[in-house]
Amino acid sequence: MASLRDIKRRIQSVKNTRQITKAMKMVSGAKLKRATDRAVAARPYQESLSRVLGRVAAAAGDTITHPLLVQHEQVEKVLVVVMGSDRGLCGSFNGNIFRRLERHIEKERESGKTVSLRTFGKKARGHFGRRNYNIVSSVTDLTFLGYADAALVLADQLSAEFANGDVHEVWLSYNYFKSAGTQIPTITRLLPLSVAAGGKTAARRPPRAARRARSSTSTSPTASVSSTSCCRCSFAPFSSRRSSTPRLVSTPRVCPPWTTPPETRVT
Amino acid sequence: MPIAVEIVTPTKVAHKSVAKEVRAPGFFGEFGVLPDHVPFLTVVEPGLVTITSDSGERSVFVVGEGFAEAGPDRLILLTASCEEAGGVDKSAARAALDVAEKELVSLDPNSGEWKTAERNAKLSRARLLA
Repeated sequence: MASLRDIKRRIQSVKNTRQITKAMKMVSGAKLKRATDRAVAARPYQESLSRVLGRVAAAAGDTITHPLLVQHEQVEKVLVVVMGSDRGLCGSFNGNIFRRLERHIEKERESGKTVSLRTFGKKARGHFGRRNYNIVSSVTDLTFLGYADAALVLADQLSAEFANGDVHEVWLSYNYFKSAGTQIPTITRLLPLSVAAGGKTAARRPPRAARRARSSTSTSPTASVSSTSCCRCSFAPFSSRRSSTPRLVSTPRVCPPWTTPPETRVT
Repeated sequence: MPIAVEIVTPTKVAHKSVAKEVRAPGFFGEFGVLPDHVPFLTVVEPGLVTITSDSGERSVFVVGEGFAEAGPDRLILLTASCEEAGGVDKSAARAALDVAEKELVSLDPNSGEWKTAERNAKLSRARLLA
C-alpha cells in the first residue's frame, strides 16, 4: 500500500517528466518548422523551372536535341538516387519508400539491368548496405552541408555519368513533401529528361496511370542525336563521343579563355 | 511600365522588386532588359546583376549560373546562388578561385568534379568583380 508520501513523490516525478517532454516537444516542433520552411522555400524555384522548361518545350516541339534528353540505345546500367533520413523515429518515412524501391529494383533486375545506388542519409545507406546493394556513394549529415550545394554537385556527377554512358538511366526515389503529415513515396526517372507537353518535368509526381505505364513498358526513344553540340554545354553527343576523330564544333564559339576548348575534351 | 524582377534560388526567393532596368550576365555577354523587352530565354553565367529601381536606385547582386526569362513586364532569373555584392568576402573568393584553378588542371575534363570546379572558378571570379 503506497503511503501518502509515496504518492506525492510520484506526482512530483510525473510533473517533472511532463516538463521534460514538453521541452523536447518544443525543440522538435521548432526543428520541424525549419525543415518545413526549407521544403516550402524550394517550391518557387522548382515551379518556375517546370514552367520555363514547359514553355521552351512547347515552343521547340520535337526539334530539341540535348544530351540529357537522349535515350541510350541499350539500357543496362541503372543508377538510383535514394533519399532517406539520417535518423529514425519517423514512422514509415523511410520504410515505405525503401520497400517500394526494392520492388522497383527487383523488376529492373529481372529485365537484365544492373542497378547501383547513390544514397543520401544514414538510414538509406544502412538499409541498402545491409542488403548488399551496390552503393557507389553515400552522403550523410546533409543538413550541415547545405542541400542546394549538394544538389548541384550531384547534378554535375549524374549528368556527366549519363552523358559519358557510364549509366544509361538515372532514377530518383524520394518522399514528396505534401505536408508535414503526408509524405508521398515517389520514384521517378530523372535522366533522360522527359519534358511533358503539359509543362511539367518528370521530376514532378506523374499521374498514377502514367507511372504504371512507365514502369511496365520501356520508355519510347525520345530525341534524336544531333551531330554537333553547342560548344558551351560540355556534352558531346554520344555518336561523336564514341568516334575517335575529334568533334567539329560549328555552333557559337564563345568559350571564355579560361575554359578548355571543347575539342580537347574529346578523348 | 516597370519590370517585375524575381531572382529565385533553390533555397529561397532571393530578391523580388520592381525595376526600370536590369542588367545580367548572359550566355553571349551581358544583356540589359528595359520595359517592353521581347520575350527571350537565356543561360546566365556567374556574374553581377544590376537592378535599377524606378527611383534610380541601384542594387547589385552576385549570381551563380542559371537562366533568365525576360518578357515585356517581367524578368525571372533562376540561379544556383544569389548574394548582395556588398557582402562578398573577397579573400575567401580569391582562395576558392586558386583551389578551383588547380583542380581544373588536375582533374579529368569529362568528370562531374571538373564541372563543379569550373563552376566554382566562375563564381569566384564573379565575386572578385563585385
